[in-house]
Amino acid sequence: MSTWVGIDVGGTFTDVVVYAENGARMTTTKVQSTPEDPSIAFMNGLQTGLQKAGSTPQEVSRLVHGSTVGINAFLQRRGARVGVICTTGFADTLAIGRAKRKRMYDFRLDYQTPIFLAQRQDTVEIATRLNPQGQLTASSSQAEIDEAVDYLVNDQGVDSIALNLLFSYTAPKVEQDIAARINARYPHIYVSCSSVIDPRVREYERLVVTALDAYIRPLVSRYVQKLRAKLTDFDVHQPLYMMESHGGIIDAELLEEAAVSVLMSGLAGGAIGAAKVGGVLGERNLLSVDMGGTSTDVILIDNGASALSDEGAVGSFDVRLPSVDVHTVGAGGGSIGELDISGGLKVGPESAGADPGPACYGHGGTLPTVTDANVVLGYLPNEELADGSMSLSRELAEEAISKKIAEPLGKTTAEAAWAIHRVAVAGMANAARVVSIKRGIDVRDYALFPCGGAGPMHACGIADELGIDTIIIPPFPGVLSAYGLLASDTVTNVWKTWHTRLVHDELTLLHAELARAISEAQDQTDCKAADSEEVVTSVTLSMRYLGQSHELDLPIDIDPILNAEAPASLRSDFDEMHFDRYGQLDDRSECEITGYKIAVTGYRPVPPPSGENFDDSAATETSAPFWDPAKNSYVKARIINRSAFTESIAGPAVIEQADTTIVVQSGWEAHLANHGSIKISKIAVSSSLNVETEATGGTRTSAEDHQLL
Amino acid sequence: MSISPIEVTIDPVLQEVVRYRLTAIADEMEHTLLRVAYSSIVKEGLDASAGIFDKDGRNIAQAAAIPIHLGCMIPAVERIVADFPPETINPGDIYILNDPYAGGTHLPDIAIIKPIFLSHELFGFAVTMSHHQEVGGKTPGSLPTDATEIFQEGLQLPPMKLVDAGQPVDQVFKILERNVRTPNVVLGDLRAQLAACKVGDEKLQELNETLPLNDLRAAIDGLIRQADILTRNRLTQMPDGKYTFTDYMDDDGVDVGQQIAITATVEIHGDSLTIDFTGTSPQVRGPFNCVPASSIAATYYVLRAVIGDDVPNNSGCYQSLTLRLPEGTIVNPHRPAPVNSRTATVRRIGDTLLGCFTQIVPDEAPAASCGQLLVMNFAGRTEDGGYFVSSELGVGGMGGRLGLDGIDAVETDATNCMNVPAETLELEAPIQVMDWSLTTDSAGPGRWRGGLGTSKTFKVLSDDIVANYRGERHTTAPWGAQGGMAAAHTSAQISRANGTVEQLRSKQMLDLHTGDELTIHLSGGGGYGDPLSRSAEDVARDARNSRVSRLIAHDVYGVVLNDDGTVSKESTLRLRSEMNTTTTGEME
Repeated sequence: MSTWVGIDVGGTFTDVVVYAENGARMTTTKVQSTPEDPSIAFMNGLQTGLQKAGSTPQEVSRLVHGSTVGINAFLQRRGARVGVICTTGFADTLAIGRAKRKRMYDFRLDYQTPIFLAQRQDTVEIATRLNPQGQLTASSSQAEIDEAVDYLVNDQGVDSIALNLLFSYTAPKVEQDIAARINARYPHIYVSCSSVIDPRVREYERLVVTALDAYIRPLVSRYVQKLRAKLTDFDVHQPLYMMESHGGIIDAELLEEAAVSVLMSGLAGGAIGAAKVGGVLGERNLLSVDMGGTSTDVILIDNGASALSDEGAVGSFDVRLPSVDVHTVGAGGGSIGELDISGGLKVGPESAGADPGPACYGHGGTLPTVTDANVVLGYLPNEELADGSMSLSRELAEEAISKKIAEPLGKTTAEAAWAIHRVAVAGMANAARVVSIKRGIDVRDYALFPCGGAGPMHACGIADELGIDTIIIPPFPGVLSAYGLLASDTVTNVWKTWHTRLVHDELTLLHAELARAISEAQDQTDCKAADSEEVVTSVTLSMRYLGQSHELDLPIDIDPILNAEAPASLRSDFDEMHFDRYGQLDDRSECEITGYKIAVTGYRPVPPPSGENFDDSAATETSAPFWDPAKNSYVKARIINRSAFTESIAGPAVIEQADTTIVVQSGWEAHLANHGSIKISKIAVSSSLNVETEATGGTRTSAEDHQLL
Repeated sequence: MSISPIEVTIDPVLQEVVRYRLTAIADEMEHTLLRVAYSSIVKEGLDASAGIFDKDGRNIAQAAAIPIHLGCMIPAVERIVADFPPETINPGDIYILNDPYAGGTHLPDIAIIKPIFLSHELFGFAVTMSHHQEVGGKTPGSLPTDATEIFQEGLQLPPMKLVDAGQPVDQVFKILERNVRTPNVVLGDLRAQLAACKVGDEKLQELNETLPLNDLRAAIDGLIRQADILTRNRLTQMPDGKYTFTDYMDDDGVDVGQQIAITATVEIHGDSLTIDFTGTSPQVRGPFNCVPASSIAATYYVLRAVIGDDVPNNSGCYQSLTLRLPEGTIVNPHRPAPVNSRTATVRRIGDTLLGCFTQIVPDEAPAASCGQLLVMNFAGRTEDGGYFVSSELGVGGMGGRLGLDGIDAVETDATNCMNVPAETLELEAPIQVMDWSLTTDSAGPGRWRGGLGTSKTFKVLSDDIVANYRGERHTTAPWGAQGGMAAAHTSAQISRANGTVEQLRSKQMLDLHTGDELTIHLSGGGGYGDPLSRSAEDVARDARNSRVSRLIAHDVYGVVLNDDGTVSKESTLRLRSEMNTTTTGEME
């Protein structure tokens, strides 16, 4: 019998999903996280999860881990001491950055580059210099290199060294030779080569991700070593896999060589979970909205896969690391609603946090939060929280909303609560727009996929706001990330700068380079995890009109680029793509290739996303007051336990289950779907901004027309 | 503060929802603009902006981009509204302009303005403004620092239709194509602007599908009123009074060495303010004149920054402002005064106004930043006989602030461009970047020192390259605030291949040949507070990281460092008390 275990370590909880009996039975477990030493919660979770599933450590055949150890080291600025070796004249690249500031009108602006990754005094210049064509224009002597390294290691005491020579990506061997020399003399020093970590043009962007690798690798390595030792003691002998930022998994042993790929490990699990559950349910285009206490992550699943981007921000810094494309907004259940002096209503980014928490928790919070609004509106039944541990006080929620929002505006408490709910929903919808804008996608063609404890409570509103008419609630929205770990594939991404014009000779060179790089990437995929069922390689060329700076990625088969007609056909394919995307094409300018992207995916078996039975004995149905925005008043709504939900229910209704509460607004109908998921569909036309009547007279404001407030 | 009775005719929810939607649309326009663009100044420097306006020309949403453009778009749209009555505007029309004396700012900044019809009514305009790398004139790159009239600066486009009811006006495109040196790039960037406006139109139509026009307009009125109320509320917290400040520019590039004064008086009166530039120098012969659109943009920037960035970005932010720009001065010149280098003037207007606000809100306003964005074009001929123009954007340091050092090498004030990576420049032009560093001691000392300026050395690998050097702060310096000291001057030099060294004036056209090296040292920011009260440990850390020399640490900060770089505490205390018996040095 084999058992699969996915362990996702979050800030508050460590989630565990166990598939026992060859994947036939799924159980989930939550234990408290232990941020000071995440391996404690990891082992706790593993032990508890196996017990609950009735499995033994020896039976564990697949163990995948989503970790925040890398990102936390970065965000809390407690990574290793990093030395940098660069080309003469470029010691300040990290501090100089790209100069643009993120907030235009802020006198209290903070540093716009992660200067803490490496200090100026730990940065050494060497003469070696490459030109754009990959030829050396200056070379350092071995003595010069040794002196630089001795200074960093012996005088400054660095733990790791980032190498970032100008144009390093044009001739990777130059940096690799230096790295080999460092390792021969100082085997304990971690070396990160920019030509390996991110072989692409633009020296600052390449340095950030390379220095970041050097910054987190010693910590990640130590953490992995500790886990592996504990696992051996515990009698688990299978390899430990970790989730990478782009959603593939990697044998943790390989993180000794490069660790930056697991920086966003924790976020990727949710994306893969959404993509894979969607795949099993036959929904390939999803907008995943994962709403937690203080923030909401929005992820686009496009044609069965989560989109990758290297333009994401890590904390407040841009890091050029291919990662699942997540947009995070500072609005969650604990976000506080407040009025400004003009009567404008804002929700978040201020949050009541865990302490004191929303007013309804009764821990002394007096500021109205989204959760308080949901209690007042009847969307969050107030006898107990989802996990049954805490009763929510409707009185305290009402008091907070009434004092801070309703009274100043001269509105009823319910109207004010609805206003908070709506503004939070609008903020999340906007995050969805940001994600789709970048990819030129119309989200109305997508199904909304709400997860996290609070997502399903706001789903109908978000869908209305975006013009989406289908909502899929996964069977276990609270532990989706841990499921995603088990459902993920093995992926190797190679993104490289490689300038090529559309002429036969240059395309022939490109073909040879692609063949080499593909074979290398395929080997890597084999190394990362050996149990792939099927390996698929895809290649895109980054192309642009000569003079443009941003590229579009054109998918290709590599062999046809050797054909005589390849220059013309690549050109026309690119023209078509540019026209589709921007409504413009340029027949005057030449077209060029600036690089390529290779993805080698080793597909692995996907565990079925269900198996945990809902406890029938708990089946209940009651009714309670529920704010119906369409009627602008409270109505009686059915409040049913998930176990009592058998076929379908029309809104207004509330479905409660262990890890979430699902709100079905009027105009929507929920149906039980396969694998324990719920599909909520739009049945009546009620427009997104609650405008239902014809505009008459032309002078009345929306508030008067529709009595929103 | 208590929330006094509010006249709630606004629907706060609808208003917030609409604010999100409009900002998302402006951001999507901006995204398209940058993605499709060709010129390095747009694609690397991001010198391009997008916004949405209502039919009366009021700005209702902006992408997070470049403050100077965002301010400049307002007069451009006002001009279109004034010149083209609504009954003459048809669906499918698109306007173009760059004439600085008719709504523009300087010739490279071309505005594309697309009227938007919602439910068959004129709703407003989707607007983009891009800095085009080449618009003709006497110098490749169209930024001649020695121009004496606008005709030398390039092609002037008065407000006119570029597209008429969906049909491109071919004549305009042909004239453009014939009058610029890099037509592919210019037309490519223009296409990017058109694509962005199209996206704005489509997304507004989508919004209108679910939201009737009247509701949209009501929400927009609410947003503008909200911005006005928040701005006025903030103004009432500032002390009433008149505050005057004068700052200077080195010269206009033509009358070399003749400093130019910019004087502003800010008068706070209850919930409104007046800004009056009386006392400012007359317009100059060189290209540093600043038409009202640019002067207004500079003023709007400072107002937005002192009010705080939590106020919605729209025309409501400026309703409390009365602006006086005396005619015939550098801030409101007469045609045909040249204007191409007005960014330098915009930055100095910003410094001048900031100087006023250091008196009004001393705890919030920082010391002066480096006071310039060095926009330089390297231009030459390509092998196939065409032209190349490659832009360089140089950025210095930010001023110190209460409790915080200034940031090194970061864009400040009304500009917000990205610099050009060395690798990108070397791929584009026969130039090598030999050095690009922070300059030790370039920042103004202070309890919170300024951010450092940069030094950059370009080695030229080909003959006959022309460049426009347009420096500032060669003869004046970014000032300190609240007892902080001024930053270093900016300077530049050419080391010729034959070994001779030429010091450059603050503005100069350059001829560069193989082996010549151009080095530019940009100022840092001014310091804030008395340097003798800076933490000695911070001074030691700065010395270790090459931000402050041991000499300045000793002579200006009064900090004595041991050979290993640590602070000698006793010697430091002694030195500091000698240097200033009235200020107690703080040891931390």
